[in-house]
This record gives sequence, structure tokens and C-alpha cells, in this order.
Amino acid sequence: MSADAGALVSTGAIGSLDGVRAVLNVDATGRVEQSAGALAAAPARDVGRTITRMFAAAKLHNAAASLITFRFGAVQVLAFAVDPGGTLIVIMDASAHTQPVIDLVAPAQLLRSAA
Amino acid sequence: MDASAETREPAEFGRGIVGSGIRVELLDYVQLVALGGRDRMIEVVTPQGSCRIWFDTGDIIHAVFGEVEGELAFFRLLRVGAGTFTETTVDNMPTPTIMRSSTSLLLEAARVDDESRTAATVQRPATSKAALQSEDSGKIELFTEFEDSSIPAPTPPLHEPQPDASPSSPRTVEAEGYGMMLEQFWQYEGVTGAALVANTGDVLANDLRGADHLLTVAGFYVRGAARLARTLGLGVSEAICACEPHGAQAMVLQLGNAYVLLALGPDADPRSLQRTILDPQLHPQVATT
Repeated sequence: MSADAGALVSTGAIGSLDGVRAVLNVDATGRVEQSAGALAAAPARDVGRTITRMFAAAKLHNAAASLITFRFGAVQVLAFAVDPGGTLIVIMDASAHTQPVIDLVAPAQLLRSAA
Repeated sequence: MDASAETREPAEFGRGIVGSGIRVELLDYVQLVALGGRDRMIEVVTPQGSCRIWFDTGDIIHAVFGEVEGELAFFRLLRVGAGTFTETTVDNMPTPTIMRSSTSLLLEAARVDDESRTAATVQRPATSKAALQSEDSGKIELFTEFEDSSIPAPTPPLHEPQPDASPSSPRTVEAEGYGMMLEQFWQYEGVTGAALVANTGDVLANDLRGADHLLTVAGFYVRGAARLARTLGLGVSEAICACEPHGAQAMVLQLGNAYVLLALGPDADPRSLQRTILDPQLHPQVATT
């Protein structure tokens, strides 16, 4: 992910939304460039790498995904493909509404896809 | 370990393992690496050539044995029966050619192993592991019971239940039951395909109608979700939903010991569907295996 990622996707703005526990901005190699929330570095790196590989696998098999969501009991994870290789990951309460997060990310997602 | 092994140079710390004269079962060793959940490449040197196996966070994603790649290369290695290996860390992973989970691959390997042992008992009751003793005890030696080429080759990995000749056999009845389970999901608006997959990766029933590629992708999603759960200290993944840029959607739900994979149209509401299916009070008739 390029250096202007923060200008396009504000992890701070997303992190302030209701129910959001952590936000990760991940580059194409799975490296976490920005994070907000209480997730430690090691798990953040593992989460970033895992989801980056999942997006790559989907693309490889002609099922390119722009958003993958996971639900684990009281927690949900939203993973956005925000450029050809970058990923924005939001970890939040399962009971929280996801639409505000999607509304914040979607314009940036379109911008980066068109770039 | 013999004396000659002790004279070998020790493995360089942090660069992976090299053998030290220990004999291990190949399947046991592969399982150990898979459970470690790390990125590794193992090169096994056998009398028939070398085989390389790549592990991505514990998943076997690629294997090469001569001209053969993928699962067949892994099963070919099992047939060879003896070899030595070195294990190294890797930075750049190759393009995956093995899609099923390590657990599923190892289960299939165990099944192949069992069948080959049965064949060996019938054809060659006096097989001795002593014949496998290596002159070079300075490396870890891998062995199986497949050292004789007269033993039938392992069958290719199964992706679907094998047909049974008898229409009333338990397997046929079981397949009909899975098919009936799958039919339940067509009542939901927006569903364009459905499949039922066991937690071993075997496809129990498939009615994806042209979206069969989702089966492979779903395997990545399920394994990725399991890793996320481990990393974040969460429970088992209940639902995974992937939206494609052109609007198509795929959803994977865990139902007991199986997963249901649903292909959804752009207008489907996966969250609503997920709640309906997972909430037994809303939809009590969905049975699980």
C-alpha cells in the first residue's frame, strides 16, 4: 500500500466508530503499515498476512473479492481490498453495525481501484 | 543415532533442521510441520529423485517431485518409501497447487497408506523394514511401506464421494441424504448455487451450477478463518462472506461438522440469510451432520 493510504482510508475515523476494536492497514506483502486499537504487533502481522493471502488466492482462482467478512461469535472481522494488493482490516463487535465502516471505506476502495 | 551422525556438522541455528540419523515416519513428520503452523520448505532426497514440499502457515500448498506437481507429487513421495530430508524457512511462496487442508491431505495419505499395507499383506507377507536401513545414517530417514513397485499405486486424492455400484448401499443412501440437505438452501432468495463440504474438505454434495471454482476458494477462506480464530483467540468461525467486485457473493457457514457453501446473486442479503440459517428458531429444519 502506498504512503497516501492514510489520506484515503482514515484508520482513525474508522477506529472511532461504535464497536470497532482494531483497524489494520496492510500492504501487498502482508506488512501492517498502520493500526488503531488494542491489537498487538504479532497478531496484527499474522492477521494481515493471512487475509492478504486469502485475497490473493481468491483472485488466483477467478473469484476476486473486494470484501470478506468473518463472524466469530461476539466478534466480526471485515477485510477490504483497497487497492490491487492492499487490505484494510476492521475487527469489531459482532453486534455493531458494519454499514458505517463500509460507507467510510467504499469511496477509498473505488478510488484506489481506479488508480 | 550412531557415531557417524555425531561427527556431522550441526544445523545452523535459525536456518531450519537438517537430519541427524533419526528415522521417522514421513506422515508423522509432515504432521509435525503442519501443526507447527510455520512457513517451511522440505526437500526430500530419495533414490528416485528429490521432492520438495512447501508449507504456508502449516498448510501444504505445493509439492514437486520430478515432473509431477501438487497432491500427486506428495503421494508419489509416499510410494518411494525412503529418503533423507532438509528443512528450511522460505520467504517467497510458490503458486499453490494443493488446495485442501493439511489435515485433509494427511487423512487421505493415511487412507492410501492403509490400503497399500493391506495390498502388501496379500501380495508380500514377508516385507521387512530392515531392507530400508540406510547406509548413510547421517540424515533423518523417512520411510513408509511403499518401497516395492509391485504394490498398487496410491489412488489420486478424492474430491467427491466415490460412486458405489449398489443403489441401496450405505454410501448411496448417505449421498441422497446430503442431497436432500442441500435442497433446503434453494428456498432462500438469491441463492444461485450450494455445496456441502465435510470438515475434512471432502465435498459431500455439490449443486453449485457453474460456480465450482468457489469450492477451491472456500477452502482458503475456511483455513484462513481458522488461522484468524487462533491468532485472535476467538472461537470457531460461524460465517464467512466474500463479495466480488461485480456483485456476486459467496458465503460459507459452519453447520455442525460440515460447511455449507452458498453462491449468491448480487441482490442477496448475506447477513440476513446468515441469521436465518444459523438461528435454529428461525429455521429449525436445517439439519447438520
